[in-house]
Amino acid sequence: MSTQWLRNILVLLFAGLVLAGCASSRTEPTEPSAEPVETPDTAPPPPMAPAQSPTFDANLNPYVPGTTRLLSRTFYFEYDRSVLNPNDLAALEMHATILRDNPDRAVVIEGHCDERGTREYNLALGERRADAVRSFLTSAGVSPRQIEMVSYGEERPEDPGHDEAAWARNRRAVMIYR
Amino acid sequence: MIRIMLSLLLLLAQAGWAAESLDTIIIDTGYDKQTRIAVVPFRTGPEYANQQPMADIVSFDLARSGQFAPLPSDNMLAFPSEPSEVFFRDWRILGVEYVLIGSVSTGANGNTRVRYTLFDVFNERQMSSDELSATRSQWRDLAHRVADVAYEAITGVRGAFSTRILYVLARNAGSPNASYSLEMADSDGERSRTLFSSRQPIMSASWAPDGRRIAYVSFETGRPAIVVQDIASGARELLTQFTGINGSPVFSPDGTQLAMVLSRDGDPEIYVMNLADRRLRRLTRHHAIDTEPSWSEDGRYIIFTSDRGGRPQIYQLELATNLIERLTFQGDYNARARLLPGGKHLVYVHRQNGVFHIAWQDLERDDVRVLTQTALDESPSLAPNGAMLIYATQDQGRGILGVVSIDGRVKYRLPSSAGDVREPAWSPFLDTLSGTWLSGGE
Amino acid sequence: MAQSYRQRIYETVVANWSRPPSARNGMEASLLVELVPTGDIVNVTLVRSSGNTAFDRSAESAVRKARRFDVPKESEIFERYFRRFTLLFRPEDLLR
Repeated sequence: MSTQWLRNILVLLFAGLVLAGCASSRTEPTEPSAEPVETPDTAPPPPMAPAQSPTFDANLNPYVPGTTRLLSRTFYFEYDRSVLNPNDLAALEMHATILRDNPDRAVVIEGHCDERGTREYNLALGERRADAVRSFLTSAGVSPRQIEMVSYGEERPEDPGHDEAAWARNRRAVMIYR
Repeated sequence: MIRIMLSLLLLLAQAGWAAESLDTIIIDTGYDKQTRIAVVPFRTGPEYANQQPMADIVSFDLARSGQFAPLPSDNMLAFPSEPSEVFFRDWRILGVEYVLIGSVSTGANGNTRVRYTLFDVFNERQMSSDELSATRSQWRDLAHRVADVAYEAITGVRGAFSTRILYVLARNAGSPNASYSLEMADSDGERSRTLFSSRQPIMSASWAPDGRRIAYVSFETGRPAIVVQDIASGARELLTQFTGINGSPVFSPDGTQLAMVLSRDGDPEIYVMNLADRRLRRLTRHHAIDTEPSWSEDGRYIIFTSDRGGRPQIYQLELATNLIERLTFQGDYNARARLLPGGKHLVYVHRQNGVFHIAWQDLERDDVRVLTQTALDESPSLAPNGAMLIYATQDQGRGILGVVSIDGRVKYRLPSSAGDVREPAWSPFLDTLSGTWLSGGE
Repeated sequence: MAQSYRQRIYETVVANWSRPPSARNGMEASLLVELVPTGDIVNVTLVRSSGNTAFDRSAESAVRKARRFDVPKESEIFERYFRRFTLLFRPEDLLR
């Protein structure tokens, strides 16, 4: 399993290097919060569609390497915990690779909680969740300069409901590429 | 009087302890029923026909405290508005212990004038009588002040009805068109007005001790920042915007310092900022969550939430020595504590069987009582007299505010409009009539 | 004999006594109560204040609300124990 991912990543590593310029020159209007993307002055616009799939979509979100499926950027947590789910490690490994290969790209890691517990304590817990993702990425070789964390605690739920299902969706860390 | 006292002393001296056992009956307990008061509708000039009757505002204030059971005006046998019209017998029959009468008129300068008198029915005494005056727009301020005077005369505790509450109103949270606003209302939830609004979350509002400035956390830049805002002018200043958490701003009792939480050094720690020179002093050093600071009344201690013991509990830090002591031991989740005036009691958020309630703790006797029984109760904020607290809870999935008397006897929900209402903060005592605070405009 | 009447006075006053929120355990107020042989209260005098006006007044109200107490018909016992007696208000069960 992991060797297959690694192979994909290596393929992507090459593709990513080649296509980094193309992808960023294909910039379309993005979220207002996103910084303008610099276009390398040496890279002319591609004359035709690239042979291989790009690393990022129009909103700067990364694809699963070698596919046009977006790579998951949201990672969920158990109640009151800030330990990464083992099932998420493969996706996080791909994010680490993409960030290593694109050192001019940065991510904001948002930390979120469900509504149970006090708001300021949840702000701290949200930061721990974001930090769990950050630690994974930096230990996988991503430069700390590419990573920023913002905890929103319980203030920005994904699901406004008040049951176990909503709470499970709200206990999360989200990677925002920019 | 002196003669009686002398004879009693002689009696006690002669009989020794036997005098106490035979001639003295010791009353060591009471039933503590709510005090029955009649707030008689005030005689009011026709120019105020559109206003909510002042006696209604006063009655509602007193009822909300939990200590009073106002007599409905339908049950009154007489409607006196002058002291000469009060006959104790009329009220005694109804079991009423206190009668408050009043009249409202307009003075020569156009101001609204309230005259009121409070009577003690069983002891057949007039207790207090006064005249208050304020601009017409301060109708509710006048009513709250009358309630404060009556409350203090009867209970011996300063009234806290002439105060304001801050709270956060969130609309459409969890959707792309979420909006947040910081609101200020009367202590009964009426007359709310918006102090700041944003598309990004607002959190943790608190009052400066002078009641003129507030501090809160705003995500308006996309990252948390501590903002200090002047209420009257609306002027805002972004005080801190360090990397990571900028949270829990709480003014010191003398208003010169602001306790806060910053995670710029890697994990959340408690800091104190000297507001004059903006110098920061870090108070905690622990690889754990340290958050939710608040001050003791004398400014010598900071209490805070920490999970340094594995689970969130309340700790106390002595500022002079940096010595830390754990205060809570019952349960595995105790957070966001506030000290009552006097410093011997705490209120905080307490998890019991997976459900969050507001708890009260006697620090000397280590006695813990749960004050609220709803789910997801949080953000307790004390009235400045310590007699009531306001908290956030949920009703059918919607955030609302509740008030509970500190003895847990009376609970009351504040009215609120659409949206989620959360994080109430009760103001300090305010001089709402003098005009030196903010004008009470509508 | 006198004891059961004393017990009833105690119960009546306790049932009438609503302590103000400013009351604290350990506060003490003494009232001298004067009755006539019918048991009607003719006088209530504060002989020692607790220092807290609201507390003193709550004690006084607790007595006056009763208006009269049951007292023994035997005049000797009445004169000895119930013509004048002291009530000491000293709460021990408050939260603070």
